[in-house]
Amino acid sequence: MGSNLLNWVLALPALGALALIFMPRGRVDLYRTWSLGVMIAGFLVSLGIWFGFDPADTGMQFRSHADWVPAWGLNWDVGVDGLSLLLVMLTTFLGPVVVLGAWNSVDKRHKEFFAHILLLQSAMLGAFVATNLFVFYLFWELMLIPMFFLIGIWGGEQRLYATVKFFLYTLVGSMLMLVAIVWLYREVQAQAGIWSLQYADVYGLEIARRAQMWLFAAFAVAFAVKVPMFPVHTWLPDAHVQAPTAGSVILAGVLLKMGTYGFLRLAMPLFPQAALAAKPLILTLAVVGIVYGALVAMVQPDIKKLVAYSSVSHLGYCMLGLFVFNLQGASGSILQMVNHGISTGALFLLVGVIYERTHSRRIYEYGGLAGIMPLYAVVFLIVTMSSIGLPGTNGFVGEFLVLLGAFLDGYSQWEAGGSLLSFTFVAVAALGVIFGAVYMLWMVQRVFFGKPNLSRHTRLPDLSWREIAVFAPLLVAIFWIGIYPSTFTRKMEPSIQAWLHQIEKGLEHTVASPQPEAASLGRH
Amino acid sequence: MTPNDLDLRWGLMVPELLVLLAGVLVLLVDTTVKAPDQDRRGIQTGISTLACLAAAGYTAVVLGSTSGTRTGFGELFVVDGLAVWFKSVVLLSAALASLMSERWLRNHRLTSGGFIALLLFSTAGMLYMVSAADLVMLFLGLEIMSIPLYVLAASERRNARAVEAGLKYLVLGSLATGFLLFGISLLYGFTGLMGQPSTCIADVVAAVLRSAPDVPALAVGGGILLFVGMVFKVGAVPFHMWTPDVYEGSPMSITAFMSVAVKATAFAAILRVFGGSGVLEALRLHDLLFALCALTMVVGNVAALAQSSVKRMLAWSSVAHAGYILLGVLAGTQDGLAAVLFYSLGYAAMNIAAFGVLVHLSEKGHEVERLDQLRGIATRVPLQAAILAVSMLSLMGMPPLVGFWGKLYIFRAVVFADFPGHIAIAVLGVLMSAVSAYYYLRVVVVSYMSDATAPAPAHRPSFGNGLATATAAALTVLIGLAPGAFLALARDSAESLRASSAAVAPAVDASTATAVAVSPQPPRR
Repeated sequence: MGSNLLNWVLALPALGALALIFMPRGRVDLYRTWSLGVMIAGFLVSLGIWFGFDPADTGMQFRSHADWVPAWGLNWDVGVDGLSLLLVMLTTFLGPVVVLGAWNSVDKRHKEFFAHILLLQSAMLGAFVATNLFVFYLFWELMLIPMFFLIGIWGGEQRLYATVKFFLYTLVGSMLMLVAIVWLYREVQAQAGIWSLQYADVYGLEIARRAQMWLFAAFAVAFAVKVPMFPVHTWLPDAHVQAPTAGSVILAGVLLKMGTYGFLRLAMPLFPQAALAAKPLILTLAVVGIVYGALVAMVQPDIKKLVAYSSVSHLGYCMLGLFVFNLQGASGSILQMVNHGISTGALFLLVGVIYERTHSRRIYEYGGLAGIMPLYAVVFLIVTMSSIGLPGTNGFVGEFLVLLGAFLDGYSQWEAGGSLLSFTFVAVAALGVIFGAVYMLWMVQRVFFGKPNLSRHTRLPDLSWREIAVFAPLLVAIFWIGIYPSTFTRKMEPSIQAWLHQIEKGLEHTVASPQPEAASLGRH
Repeated sequence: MTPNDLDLRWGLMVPELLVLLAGVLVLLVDTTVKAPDQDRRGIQTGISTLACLAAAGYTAVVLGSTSGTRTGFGELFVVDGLAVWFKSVVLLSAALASLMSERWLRNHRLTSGGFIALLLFSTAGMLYMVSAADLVMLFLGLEIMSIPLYVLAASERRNARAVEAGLKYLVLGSLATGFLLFGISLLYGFTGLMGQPSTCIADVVAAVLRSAPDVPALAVGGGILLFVGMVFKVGAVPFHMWTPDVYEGSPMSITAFMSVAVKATAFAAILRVFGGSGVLEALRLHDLLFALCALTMVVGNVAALAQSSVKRMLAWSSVAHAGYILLGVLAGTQDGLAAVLFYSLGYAAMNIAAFGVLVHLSEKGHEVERLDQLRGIATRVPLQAAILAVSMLSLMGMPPLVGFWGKLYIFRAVVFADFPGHIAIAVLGVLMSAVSAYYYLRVVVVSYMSDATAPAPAHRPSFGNGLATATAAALTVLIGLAPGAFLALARDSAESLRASSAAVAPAVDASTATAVAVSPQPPRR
């Protein structure tokens, strides 16, 4: 198995960015064609990983190792398993789409712009494929920098405020995570006698419950900011609204998944007892996020802000699915991460399309667009349906699995004589689906139907061929996942089973403080 | 006493002699070479740079090749891993500072003889201080280092701010010297009480350890005063009052030099006296140091937030970094001490890179100090803006730059150490570095994300400064990418402290012996 394949997927965008720096000035076409080519190449190489991936093997595949600071056990370790495969594919898939979507959207410093997008691509992929905490942390921090520049240089009027807020929120969380990582490092040394931060070694630790609580808290803060969970979500609307279209797409499409992926990969399997103890809190925050995000989205006059708040709501489903600790919930959650990347990414691109034409994002300025830009309206409506979760689109599968998982969790607790609390979560989350339909459809109605509110918006060009090329792959993905999700789910299910098993094993150590809930885990 | 008894091993002192000789030579150039100022400045900075580099090369290659401790000159002068490391750092900083000075001198139409010579004499003082095996030697080194710096700080003598800087540094520095001297005399008295009066560091340490755990107040007082004298040079809170004003008023290259080399030298002295042998615990200085670290990190970072002058911001940031480095001393383990070594090197590289860019941007009558003067430099001078951004990110602790490894090493040492509150202070440290992100980022924001308001002055780049900046930036990135060799070297260099304290150890009773042995020896993987 070509074990360097993953390294190539990682290195291609970064090398592309490096080459970009040395290109002659002022050749905008060269820059964007080159970036598009690099992104497409990256996607093609990652297809090799997709097809070469063996779902039955729950360990890390396509592993690659290189010594970095061997004396400290801090080395280059990457690999991919069923938990990260889909997210890696999502990232490489969105890469070309983002570049193509950003074709005309910036008006200055083009070279730097595309270089930052390519660097960001490498950094995000790195965090997904890291198989030790050190590499993970490295990329976790690295991806901040290009995003910081993307928002800060090419963003809207409040860009400086938004970008600094984005940076600081994330940094405070990750700094605490660093201390927790060093603590784990010490623990590995004490328990296994080796210097290592490899996931495999860290997973094997036995950590006292009290320490788990602290460590979980440190990791959870870092990840919750990134997700973003209510109430640390406030950087998100600012960042999204101020970011250029490409930045918003990457932010929504991939960057937010770092948070949920962090919970999935690290916070939950490393500290299962603490995760279980935090379950009621996290579920509460998740459903609060779902409803709150939806309600705030409903009243936004700005389309982009509406989509931004819808992210808060959608990511709530991901968190809900993760923290019910069962196969359905977790599969639904990962699928929902991908879905959100595709649908919300597409929505931000669509907002970008109209913004490029009118330089306005205010809903009340529009109306009757369906008659003016029919093709655009069709695409928008399909993506809206996917975002709402209409059966036949990807959103349905993800939300359904998450709600199913949550329901099964509630049922098993009720059966075991527990409270009805978990049912409440399902009920409220399901309510969120309705709210989602309300804010999206209401927005669509006001923008696309009725009569145009401004006379200058009566003659707008419909989608160009380039824009059709941007949305075509997204629409294919929406329907593919919606109609035949098992192409994707079967790649990850064995890994999720292994993940659940890992958590269960961690809970069995609970001799000192028995957990009533532990018995009901993973029975479905 | 015959010369033989004095053990005059001149080979050990080659770097110091080279630097002193270069200083004299630089002065002679002023009186003998008839050439335009411009050429003389070139010759003088060239001599200085080459001498420092040669001395650094000799230190690293010849002195560094044999491990173990070598003493000479009647047990006054010691060359060991610690000395080799810090001498290399100091000499590198001096070489880069000389290169940077050329431009400043040109801008201010100053002759360079005195300036460069003073820089070299100060460097020689640092080298002696780093190698001091005796408290008197340490004091002499400190004075040779400080007095030229008082003058250098006030180089721009028609500028009130520069004069303020020089005077403030002189007055407060003298106060600190007084503390130091008083501390030394108390310790001398203490060793006398213990039966063998001596100012030799090893003897003092042994005497303290022998009298532990009930160390007499005389020794505790002496130790505290000595410590305060050194911490003053580091710029730790509450002995930092001079830092912002002195750093602001001094020429840019001298500010850079002070912030890295003086700090490194003072840390070398702190390590030599208080590092690794359990003296801190024996003198009950541990809690004091704990408080000092916490205060320094908080005050340094919070004060830096409020600065609108980049130079002042960097001054406060240097206070903050002193706090991080002190954490390594606080940890006291082998890794903690090695982390101090590594951080000093990393800080030198990234800070000089940052100052180098400021020097590059400064023109005659247009010193770049305020934040808004950096507006839009990313489009005007993209390379310098990138270097500034890299050094800011490194100071912030972004991986994989050298600043990240320094912080990682420090925090690793603190988390692995076992003293009460070690996790708490590590958490405080990382939170403070998150705070620091705000003011470092602001520099990046202004230089990349704001448009220039005023037209840029005509630009005359300086080869020397360009070289210095590029070198420092390259070190910041390269050590960051391949830190393994440097981390190992720092660890090996810190071994010499352990070795010298092991020589003391037989005289130590069991209670302090455990304090010596807290540093775990990690199995290499």
